[in-house]
Amino acid sequence: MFAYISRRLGMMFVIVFGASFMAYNLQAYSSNPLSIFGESTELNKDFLIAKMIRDLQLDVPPPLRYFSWLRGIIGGLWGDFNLGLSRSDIPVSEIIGQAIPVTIRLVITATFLAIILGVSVGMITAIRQYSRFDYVMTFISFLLFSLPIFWVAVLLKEFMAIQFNDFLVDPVIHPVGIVITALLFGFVIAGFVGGKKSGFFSVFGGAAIFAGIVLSYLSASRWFIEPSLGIFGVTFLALCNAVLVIQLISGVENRKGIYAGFGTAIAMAALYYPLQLLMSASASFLNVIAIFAITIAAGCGIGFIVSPIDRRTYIRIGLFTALLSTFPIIVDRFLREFSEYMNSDAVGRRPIPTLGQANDLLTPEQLNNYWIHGLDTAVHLVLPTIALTLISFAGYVRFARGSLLEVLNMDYIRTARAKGLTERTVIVRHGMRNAMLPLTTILVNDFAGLFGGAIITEGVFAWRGMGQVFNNAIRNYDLNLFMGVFIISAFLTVMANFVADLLYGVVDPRIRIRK
Amino acid sequence: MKAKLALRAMAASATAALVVASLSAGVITPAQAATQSTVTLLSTGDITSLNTSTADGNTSYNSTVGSLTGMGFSYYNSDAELVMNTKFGSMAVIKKAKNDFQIKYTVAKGQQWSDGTPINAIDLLLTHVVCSDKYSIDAGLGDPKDKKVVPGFDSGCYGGTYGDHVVGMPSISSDKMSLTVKFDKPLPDWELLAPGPSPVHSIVLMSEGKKGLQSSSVNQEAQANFLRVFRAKSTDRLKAMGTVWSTGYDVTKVDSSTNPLLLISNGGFIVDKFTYGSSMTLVRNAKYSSGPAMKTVNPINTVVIKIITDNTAAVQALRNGDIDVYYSTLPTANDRLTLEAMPNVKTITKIGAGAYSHLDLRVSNAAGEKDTYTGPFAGTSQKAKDLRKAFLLATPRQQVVDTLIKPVKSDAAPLDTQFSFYGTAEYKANTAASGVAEYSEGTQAQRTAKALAIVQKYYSTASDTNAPVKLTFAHANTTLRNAISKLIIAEVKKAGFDVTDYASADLFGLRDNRNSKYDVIMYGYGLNAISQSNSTGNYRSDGSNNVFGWADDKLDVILKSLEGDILTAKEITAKRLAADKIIIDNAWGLPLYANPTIASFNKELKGIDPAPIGSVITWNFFDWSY
Repeated sequence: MFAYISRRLGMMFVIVFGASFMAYNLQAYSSNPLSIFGESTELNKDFLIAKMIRDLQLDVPPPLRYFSWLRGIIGGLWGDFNLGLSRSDIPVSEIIGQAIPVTIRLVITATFLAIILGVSVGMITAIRQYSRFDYVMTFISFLLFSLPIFWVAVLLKEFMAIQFNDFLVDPVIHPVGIVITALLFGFVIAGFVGGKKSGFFSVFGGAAIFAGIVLSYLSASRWFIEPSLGIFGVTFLALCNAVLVIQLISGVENRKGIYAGFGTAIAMAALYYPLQLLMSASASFLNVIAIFAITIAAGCGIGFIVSPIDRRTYIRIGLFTALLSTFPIIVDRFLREFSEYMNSDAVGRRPIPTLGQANDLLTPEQLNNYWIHGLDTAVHLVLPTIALTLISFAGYVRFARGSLLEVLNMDYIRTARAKGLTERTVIVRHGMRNAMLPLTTILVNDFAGLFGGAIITEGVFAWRGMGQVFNNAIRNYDLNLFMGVFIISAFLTVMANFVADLLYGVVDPRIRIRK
Repeated sequence: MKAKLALRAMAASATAALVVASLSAGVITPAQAATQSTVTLLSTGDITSLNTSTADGNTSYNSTVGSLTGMGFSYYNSDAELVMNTKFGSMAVIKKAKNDFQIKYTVAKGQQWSDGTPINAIDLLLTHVVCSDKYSIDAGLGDPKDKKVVPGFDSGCYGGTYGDHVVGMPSISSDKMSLTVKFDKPLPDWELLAPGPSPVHSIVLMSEGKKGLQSSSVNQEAQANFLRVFRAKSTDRLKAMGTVWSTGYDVTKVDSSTNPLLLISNGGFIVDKFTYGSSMTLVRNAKYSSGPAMKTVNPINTVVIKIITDNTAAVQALRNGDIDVYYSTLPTANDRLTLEAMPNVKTITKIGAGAYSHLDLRVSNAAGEKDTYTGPFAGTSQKAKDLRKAFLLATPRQQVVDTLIKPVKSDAAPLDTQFSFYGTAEYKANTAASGVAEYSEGTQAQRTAKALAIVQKYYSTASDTNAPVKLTFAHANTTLRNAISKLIIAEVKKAGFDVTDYASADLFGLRDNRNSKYDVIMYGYGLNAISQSNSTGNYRSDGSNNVFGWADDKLDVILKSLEGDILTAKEITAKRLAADKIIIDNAWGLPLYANPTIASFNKELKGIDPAPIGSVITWNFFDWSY
């Protein structure tokens, strides 16, 4: 094991060294920093050119210049790590140090959402292979897969920011709009839900009527400028969560499971008002953690009481129901701050921005208010997150679908069915778990890729993350900055591959690392 | 019963009142609500430094900030005229001899830096330190032209007119309010050499390691200290200040922990917050008095600069009110249509004096060229000259403007001179007389036929279907340039020119490598000052932008005089006309068009009036209000 790891680490070192040498030279030879003087009519142009040659060592051939850059990296061995200065004389490490958190903030929610949604939808399509739902999802995922993100971003900004903000001036949905949206919603839901033709129409009608009622209520109550979930919304969502969790963990035929799940959902509703005490304007992140601790404790407690037999199962039901149902409670708190946020001086009644990382005009008081500050971050994140999720969602759907289909055709699945296990157990315990194995590799790599940033998304939403730093480095012939981003991405990619290989050995007993 | 009814009526009217109130609340437009005292500007590139005098810090993005935080002797207005800022001070030539040219700069009394320190002539001295090569060498700060070592003050000003001609040390009057600088000869454009004020006391304090604002006596002592150090040329002290000046202002973050000494300003605003690559917030400078007074009704108290590199994103941000002012020097017809359709903004299109596009033809070898240029345009023979002329005659300038520029600026026309600004009186007079009119006479079909006739003199087989003259046409690989080259190539083909299109990813590398890979090149020139000597370096036989082998003794004399003599406006016009005539006579090239610019801004915002040069949007921040 030790030999294996050290051999892999040695290879990583060689790869990163070779890749950085090539990248440095390719970039140095392909760009000409002096070209910025092409259009210049400055009187001291000759001096400025000579100065740039001196500052960037342009008189040293790139393969040799590489080593003066490398010296800064190797200096890390004795604590003198130095990525050099950018063209604007700012230390590269400082620029990258600021860009990494921005990138992570931008990409992490979208990545999690895409993974969770993509993998679950993918697995459902596999279970219902060649059903209407499968076809609809296959169509949607290919559609999303082929959309260019800059175009998606333009549409999102137009409809979800500009038009939505205009709509907020008088947030009443036109009756025709309600009818069309309701029909569309019914159609989509009916497409998702499988079944026979008669089933299609009843689901379609039910969903359309439900959507129509909800939209009419939202419109009439001016919900969009004073949004909240309220205790009813929170309870409703908690019950939905309970159904989902019960279905996955114990199955609806298990009565004790229903008690645990619904019991927890009702406890959530009961906790709604008491928890508000923890969510005052002076709250902090610690309060949120405390809320999660309380709700999870309640969920586990209910699971514990329900039955002394098979306790772990019911505790799990309680735990997951509580965990999922806490989000609506917290979202509700943020939403109730929306109207104040929207009417504040900094926002000027146009709450959804088309770009940017944060509102520059928030007062210190607003910044200290956890809910307002959080809401500000959220409204800035909403469009890029949707864009990123839509684009990367499709890949996960296809991958998870293929992976689960392959597993379901395995002999051990047939064996499991033959020994009389319920279909739920076969799929959840034996199918899904094994289908997750090949996903490990792409997940680990995707997380390493996070640090490389999302060049186009960051550009169109004006976020200065790693992607934009990289892009600017190329456009401004900023070799040190370019290499700074490159070396981090290269290192993380190689590292991720290594970690994925190790993890694979851990999660899959069939693969054991050679001695 | 009655009481119940009254209650019900009250409840009903209260509800009605509430409904009315909530409805009217909904009608408030964004600009009326509170963001009213803020202007959000767009920066299409990074703000990297609060010091715009270092070579790295001298970018238009940093200058935008500089124009809000600093006022000096002059600024460009929206008519591209240099306006003297008498609130800050005045300048005058006090001696004008052949080898003794003195200018006196007087700082107006009663001005203060934002920390309350009085502004005086000592604050002008830093220009000498960062622009005079001799001072840098004498004070032991290093030779700015050294090939290895960076000088103490890493300035981008060395090697220019100031450094080349300044004599001795500038002298300061006894009341410390005026500064006299001596030069070795009369300098044209001397107004442009005016030193900019710098808060020298803060540089002294920071070089001593001070981290916060100091008392007024400490500040004034530091200011006086700078004068002593400056006069004594104390190497160590100057070097410490040089480090602060060269790198201390290159920040990636400004917040409450930033040393306030870095942010001292005499402009309308002070930098308050900054996040690298994202945005900068500036707040009003309460002690501002170095320029025209700011508006008092609905004034602007905060300026935010958002960094948005993506053009479409910027346009949509304007529509959503995320920015208040949008500006582009490379607008497309599509941009204009989108902007003009927006209900919340006002759009202005202009012809920018700052940049223009032109065609240059090779003539002979450039200095230092490795191979020999032997293309059809080579040499001063009649044949080469005629072919060049034929090529230019067949170039469809009007068509280029009609197809690509007019959709952006409907009254655009081809640019006819390399020297005068589009639309000025001088421009009209000179272009009527320079002979350039030949290139717009008649229709393009007639001009092309004329060109073909010239080509046929040397290539008898040439016809509108047979193009015997082989050429290579180089230009940058951008959508606009490719579209222009397509139009030109199609038209000159009818005059006998078979042109190979060469869209280069590194056009200036190609141009400056001094090789013979092309015969015609198209690109733009940008100007950052309007001066007597502007663009002379492009045509002088030894000019740094002249890599085409153009050489004409008479032209060199004229350009030298434009660069070196103080001339009257009439003389300048005459010399420019003479220069234009020579260039047109030799058929070295033709200007194509002056680049249009577009500015769109929040309808509610008053006073935005983009200048074609200088700090385009921010030059008149004092006129802004809602």
